[in-house]
Amino acid sequence: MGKIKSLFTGRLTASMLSLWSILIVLFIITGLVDHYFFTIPSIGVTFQLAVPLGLLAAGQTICMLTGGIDLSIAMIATGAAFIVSIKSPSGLGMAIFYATLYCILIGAINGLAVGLLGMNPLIMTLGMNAVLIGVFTVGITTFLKGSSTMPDIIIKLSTASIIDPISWPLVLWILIGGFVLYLLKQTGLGRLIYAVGDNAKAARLAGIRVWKVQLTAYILCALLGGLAGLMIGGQSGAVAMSLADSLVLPSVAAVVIGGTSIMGGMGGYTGSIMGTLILTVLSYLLATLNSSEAVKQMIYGSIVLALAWTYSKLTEKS
Amino acid sequence: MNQSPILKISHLSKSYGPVIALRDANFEVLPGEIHALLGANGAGKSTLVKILTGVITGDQGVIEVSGKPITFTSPDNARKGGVAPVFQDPALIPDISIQRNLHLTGTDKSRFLKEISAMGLEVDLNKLASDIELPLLRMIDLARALSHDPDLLILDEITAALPVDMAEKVIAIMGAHKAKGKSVIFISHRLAEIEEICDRATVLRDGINVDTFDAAEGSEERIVAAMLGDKNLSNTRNLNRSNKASSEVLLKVDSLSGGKLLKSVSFQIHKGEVLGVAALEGQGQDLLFEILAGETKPHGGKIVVNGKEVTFNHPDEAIEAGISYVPGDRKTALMPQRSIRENLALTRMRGLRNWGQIKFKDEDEKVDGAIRSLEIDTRARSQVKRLSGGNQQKVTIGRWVTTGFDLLLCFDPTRGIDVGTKGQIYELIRKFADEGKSVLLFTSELREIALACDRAIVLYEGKVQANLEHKDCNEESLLNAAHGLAVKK
Amino acid sequence: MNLMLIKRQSWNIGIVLIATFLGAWQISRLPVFGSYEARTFLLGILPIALLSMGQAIIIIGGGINLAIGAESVLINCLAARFMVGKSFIACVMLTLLFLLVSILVGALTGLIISKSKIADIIVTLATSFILIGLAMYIQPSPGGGMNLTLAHLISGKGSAFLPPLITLILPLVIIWLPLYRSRTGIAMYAIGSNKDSAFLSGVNVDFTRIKLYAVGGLFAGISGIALTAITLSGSPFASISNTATLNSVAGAVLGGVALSGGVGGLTGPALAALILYFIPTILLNYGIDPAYSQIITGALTILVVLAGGLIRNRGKKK
Repeated sequence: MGKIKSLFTGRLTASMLSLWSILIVLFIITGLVDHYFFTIPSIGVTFQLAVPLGLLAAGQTICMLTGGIDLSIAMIATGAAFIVSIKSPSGLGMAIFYATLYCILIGAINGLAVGLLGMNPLIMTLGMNAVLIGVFTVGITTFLKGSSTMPDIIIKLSTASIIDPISWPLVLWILIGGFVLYLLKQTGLGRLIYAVGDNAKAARLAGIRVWKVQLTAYILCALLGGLAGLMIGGQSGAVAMSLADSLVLPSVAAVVIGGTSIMGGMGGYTGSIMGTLILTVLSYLLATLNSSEAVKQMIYGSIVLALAWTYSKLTEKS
Repeated sequence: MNQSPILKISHLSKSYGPVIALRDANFEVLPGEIHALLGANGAGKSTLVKILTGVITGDQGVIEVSGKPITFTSPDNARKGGVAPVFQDPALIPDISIQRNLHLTGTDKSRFLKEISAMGLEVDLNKLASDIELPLLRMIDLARALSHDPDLLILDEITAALPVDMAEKVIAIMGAHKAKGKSVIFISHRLAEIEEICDRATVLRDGINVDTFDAAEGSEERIVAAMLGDKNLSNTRNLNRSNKASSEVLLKVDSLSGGKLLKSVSFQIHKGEVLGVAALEGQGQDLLFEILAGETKPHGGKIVVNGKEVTFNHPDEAIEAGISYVPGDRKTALMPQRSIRENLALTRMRGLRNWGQIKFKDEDEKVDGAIRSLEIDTRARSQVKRLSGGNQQKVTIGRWVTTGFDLLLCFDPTRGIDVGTKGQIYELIRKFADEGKSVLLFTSELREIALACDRAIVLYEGKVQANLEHKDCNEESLLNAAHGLAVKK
Repeated sequence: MNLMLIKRQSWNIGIVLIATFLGAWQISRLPVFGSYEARTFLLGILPIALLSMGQAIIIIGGGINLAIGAESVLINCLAARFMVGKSFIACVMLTLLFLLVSILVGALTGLIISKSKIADIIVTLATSFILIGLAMYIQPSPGGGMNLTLAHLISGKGSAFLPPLITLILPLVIIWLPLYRSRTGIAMYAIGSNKDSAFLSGVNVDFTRIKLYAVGGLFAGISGIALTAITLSGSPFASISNTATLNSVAGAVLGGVALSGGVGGLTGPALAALILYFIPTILLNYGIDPAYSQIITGALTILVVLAGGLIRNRGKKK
C-alpha cells in the first residue's frame, strides 16, 4: 500500500508514466493507420516537425515555471525570422546578430514589466504581441523592406537530414534542449526560476532579487522563440506574418500536458518534450485520418483539459 | 437561577495533525449574560469561536444553541441562527460600498442606521469598505451584527486597537444588549474592561477550559494565574547555559517607528545573547521583525549593526549585514512544492555569482550539516508541504544554518508545533548563542522565554514596556507587562 | 457625497471624454453624418462591445475567459447554420435556444473551473479549442444566413440606427442592471474582491462562479447572434475568435475593470469599445496604415493596466 502510495505522491513519476503511455499508444495507432509512419524517414520527418514546437515549449516552460506566461512568442518568432530574411543579403552574421538583439529587447521589456512593474504577464505579453503585429505590418512596407525568403543555410539546418532519422533540426533540439534541461536542473538560476514561481515572497525573504530572475526568464524565452521562428521560416522557406500563429497555444498546451503548473514552481522541460511529441504525433494522426480542422481542435482541447484535470487531482492528494 | 443556557458547548475537540488546538473543551453561556472568554495566545479561543460560527468544522463535540444541537456551516448561517460573530478582521468586502455589503448579508438598512446612530456615529453608506478606517469598520461590523438581533453576540478582540471613546461605546452596547435579555461572548486581553462589564469569565489553557468564575470573584491576578496554570512553574528542562553573552553590542535599535503600531522602540542585543520579545497580539511585533529583516522600511529611528548605522532596502542587504529572518508564518518562508534540500539551499543562491553550475559537493555538505544539526526528518522526500509543522519549522531555520548569520530573527518559531520538536528548537537556539551568535526571539508562549532567553523586552502600545533580566522573566511579570501593568519585582 | 461619486465614476467619465473627442474628430472628417453613418458606427462596435461586457463581468468576479471569442463564434455559426431559410418565428425560437446554449456553455465552464481547481486560464484555453472546433464542425466554411426580418430587428437596415442601439443597450438594462443590484451580482463582486470575506459574508463561492461564467456566456451568445444579424453568415475562424477574445480583454481593461477583480462596471467597457473602434477608423481616414492601430491598441492596453494598477495601489496605501 505504501509503495503504491509513493508512486502517486511522486507527481512526476505518475505523470511521466501516463505521458509515456499516451505517446506510445498514439504512436502505435498512427502507425496502424498509416504504415508509412513506422518507417525511419517518416519518423525523422516527424521529429523535424516537432522541433519548432519543442523550442517554443522550452521558452514557455521557463516562463511558466516562474508563474508567468509568454503569449508574445508568436511575434517574437515571426519577427526574428523576418529580420534574418531581410538582413541576410547583407551578411548572415549581422542578420542573426540583429535578430538576437531583437529577441533580447522584447524579452527584456516583457521581463521588466512583469518583474519591476508588477504587470500581469498575460496582459503584458498579449499587448506586446498586438504591438509587434502592428510594428511588423507597417515595417515590412517601410523600414523592413526586403526579401522574405530565408537564407539557404537556415533552410538546410531546418530541414536536412544527416542520417535518417537524425536531422539537423533534431541535433539542434538535442543540443538546445539539453542546455535547457541543464539550466533548470543544475544551475543556481534554474533553482531560482523554480523558487520564484513557487513562492516569490519566500525567495525575496531569502535575499533573492526576484525581478532579475524574471527578467532573465523572459529573455531566455524570447531567445528560444526567436530560434524557433528561424526554424519555422526555414521549414517553410519563406516568412509570413502568420508564421507562428498556429503554434502559440500549442506551445502552452505542450507545457501544460507535460505537467508544468501555470502557477509556477512545479514541472520541467522533460514533460514539455513529451507534450511536444504527443501533440506532434497527434497532429500527424489527425491529418492522416483526414479529420477536419474541427475535430482536431476539439480533440486538442479535450486532451489538454483531461490531462490538466488529472494533474490537479494528483496534487490534491496531499 | 436555573435558566437553561443559550449556548452550551460540550467536549469540543479539534486537531491539526499532531497539534491539538482544542481538547474536550466545555463552555456555557446563560441568557442575559456577558461572558468573557480568556486565554493566552494559542489557548484555543479563536478555534472555539471559529467552530461555533461555522468558519471551520470541529472533530468532535456538541454545540447546542437554546437547547438544540446545531452545526453552523458558515458565519452567515450562524447569523441566521441567532449567533452573530464580529471578528477582529471585519468581514466586509473591501471593494464594495457599505450599502451593498449590507445587501449581501441581507441586513436591514434602516435597522443598521439605527444601530449606528445609537453608537453616536455617522456612516456614509455609499463609501467603499476599503475607504473606511479600521476602527470605524469594526463598529460597522458590530452594527451589522446587532441589526440581526442576535441572541448571542460574539466579540473577538474588538476593543484592541480601538480608540478609547469607541471602546467605551462598545462597552455601553454590550450593556444594552444584556439589558434586552441577550448574551455576549467577549474576547479581550484588556483585563480592566473585563472586570468592568462581564458577569462571568472562562479561561482556556492548552485547548481546554480550566476555570470559570464570576467576575466579582475574579481579579487580574486570578485571571493571569489561570492563564498560566501551575504557579509553581519549575522549568522542567534545564537548558545548558554554558556561555555567558559577551558585553559587545551587536545590534542597537533606537527610537524605531513604523507602520501604525510601532511608536518608539529602543533596545540592544549583545553577541552570543538570546533576547526574548513578549507582547500581546497586534502590538507591532511582526512589523518590528520585518523592519529588522529588511522587508519593510521604518518611518523613523535608527538601526545600528556592529557600530555602523544601516538602512535596508531589501532583505538581501539585511542578510549581508548578518541578519537572517525566520518568519512566523511558515508559508511565507518555504517553497511548498520544492524538496527539503532545495529549500535548505535557497539562501545560498543569492547574488549573480551563484547563478551558474551548482557546486553540489559544497551544497550537499552544508545541507547535510543542517539536516544533522537540526535532526530534520528526511523520510518525506518529495515536497516540503507534506512535512509536519515541526519539521517545516526546522527547515525554515536550517536555511540559515547553510549560509551563516550573526543575528537570527525568530518569530514565534514554536507556534503550532509538537512538544518534542519545540524542545529541539529551543536547544538549537541556545546552541547558536553558545557559538557566539545572537537570536531575537518572539514567542507567544511566555514560559519559554525564561527557558531559552537571556533577557527579554516586552512590547506594549508601540513601545518597550519593560526590559527584564533573566531572573525576572517569569510568566507573571511578562504577562503583566504585556498588559501594560507594572512589573512586580 | 458628490465628490465621491465623481471620483468613483472618474474612469467612466474619462472614457466618455476620450470617446466623445475621438467621435467628434471622426465625424468632422466625414462629408456627411446622418443616421446611416450612425448605424455604421453601431454595427462596427456592437459585437465587440457585447463581448467586452461579458468579459468584464467575468473579470469582475475574479476570473477570465480566454474562450469568450470562441463562444461567440460558436453561437454565430449555430445561428447562421440553422436559421437560414427559416421563418421569423422559427428564428426567434432558435435565438432563444442558442442563447440558452451560450448560458449552459458558460455555466459548464464555471463548473469545470470550480470542480477541477485548475487555473481559469488553462481551462478556458482548452475550451477555446473545443468550442472553435465545434463551430468549425457546425459550419465548415463561411455561409448560412438568418431570417431577414429578424436580422433587421437586431441590426437595423439602411439608415435605421435605432435597432442596433437597442441591441447594445437592452442587455445592459435588462440583464446587467438588475443583476448588479441583486445579491447574486454583489456576490460576484465579492468573490472577485476577496474570496475569504465573501465566504464569511455567506456567499457560496463555487455556485456564484458558475453563475458568473454563465452570464458572461450569455453576453457572448448575444454578441454571436448580433454578428450573425450583421454579417448574415457564420465564420468559423480561430483567428476571428482569438482577435475577439483579445479585444474583449482590452475593452474590459480600458473600460476600468481591474484585473484583480471586484472593481468596475459594464458601461465602461461598452464605451471603451467605441475607442477601440475609432482609433483604426480615424487612422484609416488619415491614410495611416491601420496596422498602427494595432500598435496603439496593444500599447494602450498595457499602459492602462499599468496605470490602473498603480493608481489603485496608491489609493490602498496601508
